[in-house]
Amino acid sequence: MIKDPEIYRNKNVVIAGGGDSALDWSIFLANIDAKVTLVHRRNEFRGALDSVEKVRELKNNNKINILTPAEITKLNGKEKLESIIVTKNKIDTEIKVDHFIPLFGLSPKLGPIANWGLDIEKNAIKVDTFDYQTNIAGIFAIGDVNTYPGKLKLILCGFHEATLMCQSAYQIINPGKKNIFKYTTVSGIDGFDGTRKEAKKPVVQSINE
Amino acid sequence: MSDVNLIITDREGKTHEVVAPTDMAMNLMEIIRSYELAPEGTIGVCGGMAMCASCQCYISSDNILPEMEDEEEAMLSEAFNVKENSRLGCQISITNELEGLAFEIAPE
Repeated sequence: MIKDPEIYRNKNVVIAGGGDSALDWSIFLANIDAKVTLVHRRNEFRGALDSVEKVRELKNNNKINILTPAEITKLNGKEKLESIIVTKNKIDTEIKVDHFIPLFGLSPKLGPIANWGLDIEKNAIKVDTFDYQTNIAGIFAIGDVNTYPGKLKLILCGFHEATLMCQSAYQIINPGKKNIFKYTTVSGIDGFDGTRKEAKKPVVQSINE
Repeated sequence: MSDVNLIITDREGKTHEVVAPTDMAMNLMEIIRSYELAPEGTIGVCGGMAMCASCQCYISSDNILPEMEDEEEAMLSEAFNVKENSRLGCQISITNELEGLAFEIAPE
């Protein structure tokens, strides 16, 4: 996972993969002057047409190095990664790298969260549907990561869960504070840009004049 | 409406004979999930878009299967433990041609 793209600036970066993530990060990192090598097992990339075209353009302008069909077969280094071996047409080539980013598709895992003492069932966190709180008070779980009787992994349901979870979390953060559920379409809301966002008021007018 | 019989070997090596409906627009990955032959969260993770290979199967019978589309081929070319007879379960719809199909769910 890429947390801070800045660390890749002017560095030798090898990205492996052939999907949208590999394409998008190749484009992004090439544009902040990382020396990107994109390695993929096939000649074809599977992604949004726009991304594929951008990568092709970067390649044509020598802004990115593409190795296909090729595979990364070895990682070398003492204490930290120093180089990788890329095998293309059965020939091994060593490439010096500062960073290696493998992007081989989706693999959602709970990771360290699995050790937090949360009730887990079928690789998901059990919650109370009252407010989507877990067995540990103050820890909520919403979206694909949770489970409860009747759970459907729909974005629609995730938003619903978030709404109820926020109401409950607000009470924990601001104990005793009066809060009332409101509609932004009725009362508007302060936007992140500091301005007041309000729905257009309907006119009150006679049609027969 | 008709059902077909499938022989599915789970990741622990246990074989299950299951009945799969041809009229529910289901695929092999969904059959595995509906019979809970692999734990939730370890199969069909991407929802059936050929984006994750968590439903990779090794086909062992000689049923005639639909040709692999580009997406499936692309995903399998990046997946692990891929064999000659690998397919993505989510890309194979349950049809009458699958009668007697035998396959094993690939490791996680």
